[in-house]
Amino acid sequence: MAAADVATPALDRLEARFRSASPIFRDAVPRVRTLLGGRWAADADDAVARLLPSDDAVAGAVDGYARFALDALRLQARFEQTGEYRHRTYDEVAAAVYLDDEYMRTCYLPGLLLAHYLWPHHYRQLRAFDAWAEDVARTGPGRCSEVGVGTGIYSRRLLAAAPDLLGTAFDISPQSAAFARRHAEAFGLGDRLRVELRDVIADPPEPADHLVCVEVLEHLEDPVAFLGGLRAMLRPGGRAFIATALNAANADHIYLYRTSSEVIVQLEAAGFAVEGYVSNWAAVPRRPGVPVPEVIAFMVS
Amino acid sequence: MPGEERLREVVAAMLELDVADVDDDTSTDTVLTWDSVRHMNLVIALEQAFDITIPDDDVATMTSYPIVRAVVEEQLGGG
Repeated sequence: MAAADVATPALDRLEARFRSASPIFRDAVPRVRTLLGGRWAADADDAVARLLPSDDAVAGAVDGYARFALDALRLQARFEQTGEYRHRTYDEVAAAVYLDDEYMRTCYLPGLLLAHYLWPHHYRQLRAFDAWAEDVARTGPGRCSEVGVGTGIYSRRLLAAAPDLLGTAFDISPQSAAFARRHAEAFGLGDRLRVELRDVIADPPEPADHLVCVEVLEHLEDPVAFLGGLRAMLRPGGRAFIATALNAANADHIYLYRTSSEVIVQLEAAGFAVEGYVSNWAAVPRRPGVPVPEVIAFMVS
Repeated sequence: MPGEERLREVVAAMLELDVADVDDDTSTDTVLTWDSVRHMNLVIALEQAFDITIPDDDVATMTSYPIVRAVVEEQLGGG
């Protein structure tokens, strides 16, 4: 069977649910399947099968993704007009997003999980991370930390790629911690990933050999101070994968990065040596000069 | 509703249809090009054309022309 024709029953179930329950997203799965091919389809199918094993789970995730994606599209349109994100303080975002238990469980986290697969720029960043994880795997046994684990997708992929690693994942959200724990268990990695509810700046953990921090900086009022704390969590000689979003007006984005160089300046000020970065745009600009959401991942040491 | 012709023009423009083709049968089931990006463009165009704000909860449920009309009417104070 050719890669493009790989059987994907779980992904097919997801696609059928989009068609029936959220038709404006009916092309969400086939569009990316055409763009990214059989390898993507097999990867996404595995995730859906393990993490959304029932029809109810798929229905909840589709509903969550639709709300999450519509919200993002609407905020992006507003951002194109104002040039500013909606919220400026952590307290505003916490009240609107993080402290809303139902929104976090039923909308934000399932929506975010599907967005990793259904938004090509996010999936391309995952592939870049997989390449980084292969390099980490070659360094042998060690410990890795992830700060702001979210859905758990990055820690899961790192531990799957590097069987000699043990991981600890930190988040300040109880819902994220629970989601990440379930995620690791669904892939048989529960015994190698410890998930802790902890503010790593207020209560710093032991330094690790490898560090992952994906799309946290833009959620903070003061990413510079945070990056200083992050640097202290990496052992000398260790390597880190730090990603953020530029010009992307999601509901909980506070700190607006407009260019990659703004992030590089902050990383270097925190003591990181930037080895390189991978950038992916969400789309081509609608008009010249219109900012496009971008995810950008830095390989640093 | 008052201004329905304007409403049909906006819907037609955003969904790339002829105005004459916009009727009570127009929905995400019958218009296969009605995707998420066109949907959001429609929401924003409606807000600008009628000087209204469409609540987030309504954005996700506006999947047919009759529902779009009802939401706009409600925000204009006629619903």
